[in-house]
Amino acid sequence: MEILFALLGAFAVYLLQGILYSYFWDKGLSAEISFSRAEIGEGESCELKEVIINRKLLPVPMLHVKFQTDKSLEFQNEKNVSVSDRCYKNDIFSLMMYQKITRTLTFTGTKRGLYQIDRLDLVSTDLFMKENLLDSVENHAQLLVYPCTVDMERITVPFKSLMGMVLTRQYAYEDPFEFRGIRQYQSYDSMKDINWKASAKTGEFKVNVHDYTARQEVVFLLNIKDETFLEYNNLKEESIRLVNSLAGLLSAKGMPVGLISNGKDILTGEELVLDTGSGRPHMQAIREQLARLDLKQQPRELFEVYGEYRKEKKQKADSVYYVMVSYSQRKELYESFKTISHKGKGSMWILPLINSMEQRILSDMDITIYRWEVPDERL
Amino acid sequence: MNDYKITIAGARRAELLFAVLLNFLLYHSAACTLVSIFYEVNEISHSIWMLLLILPLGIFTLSRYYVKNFIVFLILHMVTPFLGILGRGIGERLVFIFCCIIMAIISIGIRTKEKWKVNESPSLFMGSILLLCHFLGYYMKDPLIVQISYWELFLYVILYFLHENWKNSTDFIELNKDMANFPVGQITIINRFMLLLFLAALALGMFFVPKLHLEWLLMPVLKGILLLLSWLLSLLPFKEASEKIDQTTTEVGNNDWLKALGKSETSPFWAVMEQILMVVVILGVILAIIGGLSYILFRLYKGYYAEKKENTDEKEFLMGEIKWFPKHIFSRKTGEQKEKGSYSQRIRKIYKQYIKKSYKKKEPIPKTFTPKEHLVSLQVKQADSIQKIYEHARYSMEECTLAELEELKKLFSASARNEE
Repeated sequence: MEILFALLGAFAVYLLQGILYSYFWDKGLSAEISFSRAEIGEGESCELKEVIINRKLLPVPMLHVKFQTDKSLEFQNEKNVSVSDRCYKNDIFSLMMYQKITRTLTFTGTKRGLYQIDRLDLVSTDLFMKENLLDSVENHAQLLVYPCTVDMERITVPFKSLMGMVLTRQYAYEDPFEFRGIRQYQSYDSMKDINWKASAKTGEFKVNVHDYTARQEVVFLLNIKDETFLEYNNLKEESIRLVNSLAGLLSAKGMPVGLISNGKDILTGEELVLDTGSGRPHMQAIREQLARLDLKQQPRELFEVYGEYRKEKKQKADSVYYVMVSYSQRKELYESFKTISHKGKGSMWILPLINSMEQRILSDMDITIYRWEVPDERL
Repeated sequence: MNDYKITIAGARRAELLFAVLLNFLLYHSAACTLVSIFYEVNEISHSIWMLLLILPLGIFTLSRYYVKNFIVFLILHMVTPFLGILGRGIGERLVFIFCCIIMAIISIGIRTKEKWKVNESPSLFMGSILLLCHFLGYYMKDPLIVQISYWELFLYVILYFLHENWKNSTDFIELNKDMANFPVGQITIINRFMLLLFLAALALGMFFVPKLHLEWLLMPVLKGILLLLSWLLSLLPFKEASEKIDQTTTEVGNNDWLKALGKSETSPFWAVMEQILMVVVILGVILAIIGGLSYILFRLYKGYYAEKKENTDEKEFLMGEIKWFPKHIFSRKTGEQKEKGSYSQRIRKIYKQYIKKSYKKKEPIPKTFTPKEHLVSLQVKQADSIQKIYEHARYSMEECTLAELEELKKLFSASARNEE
């Protein structure tokens, strides 16, 4: 009879270990994933940190930590990664009592966008690896990948043309309260403009230069609505990069820049509309908004968005220089843009197209069109 | 990757050893029970001689893995049972040969199966053979068989769980060996550690639960079952069987069944052998537990403090959260994480500590002294170099480097040696 009780004792101990693990394995166990930086540029590397902590006396011999991200985040070591529609990552840890493990993984953000890791799945087993123990924890990791800039050599021509057009449309009236700088006296300068202190210092007549009463502003109109049922995401991405690059260059020159797009924000779902502004914080805001542009959401017509913006702002059309960036050459779009160009006395349209695409619209008095060649992804 | 291969190969060999031991326990109990049929008085010498069954079992296992030639393999299997003729009596010889034949048949069957279908170890259910031997021992009123089968069942259960855990963990490691940052060392160590604790708990459970004498709970149930069986059999033409069960029910009720059977008489030589065997087994178990625990703790210690890491993970023990645990045992200091603060701060701290230590306790430290004056008054060697490093740390806008910190430490330790 003793033998039966001995077997009973063995069975009880076996059951006890199973119960111990099934009830207590996830107590005091925390898992967190975070990005080492909040934002990176397209094509840059960043690090992902996995921190697992076991705050109890019961060790966890084996723990799978599984999560998924967008496949645009390419991990350097792909052995623990399964890439299909998304990137499925699976890491294995082993934790002693009261132990913290930090694992750092390097990845590259190959595409702009907002990436979030909201959930982690934890899988463990008991001592005999017979039963799977599952848990799911929330996580709040977020990374913003900014769009990169286009080839600077290629963008120089349209940029210079743009700058030239903008500067020639500056108002003739100077603002006496806006000091811009000092220059050599010219015969046509008024005596009241002479800066006597600077003239005394240098021994030559110097005059003050004032800024204009109203600065020329540049507003980018970014269209991401497709022309037909065919989607050209590479052209839309290139359009975003073009806007980012040109806005950056103009902002560096002190030019106020604004942005209107029919693309929607991935978080708020609203169309991208940014008032004109200048300075680094404004440029940062533009880059952030462009990074959060979601191409999957169905966009409205660009000029519907523009119309709503104009009503709200009641801005004078002639103080704004418009730059349209759109691969779509639909007639309605062209006509609408032509109308506002005419009011504003000129504008620019940058056409990002694949080599095989035909350019149907041509430059005229009101609109200067630049064709921007984009490599075909299919080749 | 090669480390993993070595680990897995070693684990597989250990797994095979456990499987062989499990099989051996089954064969040994069965053989001892069969041998007792042939002899009027069952002596311990028969059971000890039956321990030689490990030989054919080992030969068959090794030949399955290392003898490639099937003819040689077959010959070995045909010849090995003849080892039984070395038995001291007809009973021993017959039982030995019979067991060897069973082993040979099973071994040939395993060899001819596909690898993935082969399972060397017996299942937990096969432990019922030991249970059967135990009850047969009671039926035949043979205390030796009862004891042998009891302790072998005890060992069987422990070995079974050990083997099961070992096998599953090795399979897991083999399945995931290609994963990056796979902590195979830590998984193995933690698994072994928990397994050891489990086996200790298991052994204690199997040892102490019978001591609780819970039969008073089960007796009424057992009696009820036996009465029901007796009644069912009385309805059918099995009256003899029914009467026997009634008799058993009475015995169960009298608790005679529970009383330990007396030991059988045996020669002094074998009595001594029995005692030696018992001491060896107990010592072996104690050494295995202590040795296992010590090895595991050593591996943990080595793995934690070793410079060579098995992966790039940063590990930290949160000993501060266990209030009763002394922190300094696991306060691992690696490389640059020895102290907190920047290099400049650490340089200033070291300098300050040195100056404080150098002035004797009774002497007040002059507060108006410059670093040079301190070093000169203390007659420190290479005072210029120390002063330069300290002033760079104290007054410069630039951060000091690790090289400067190391240099300062060397200078101070050299100065301390000179003073001695």
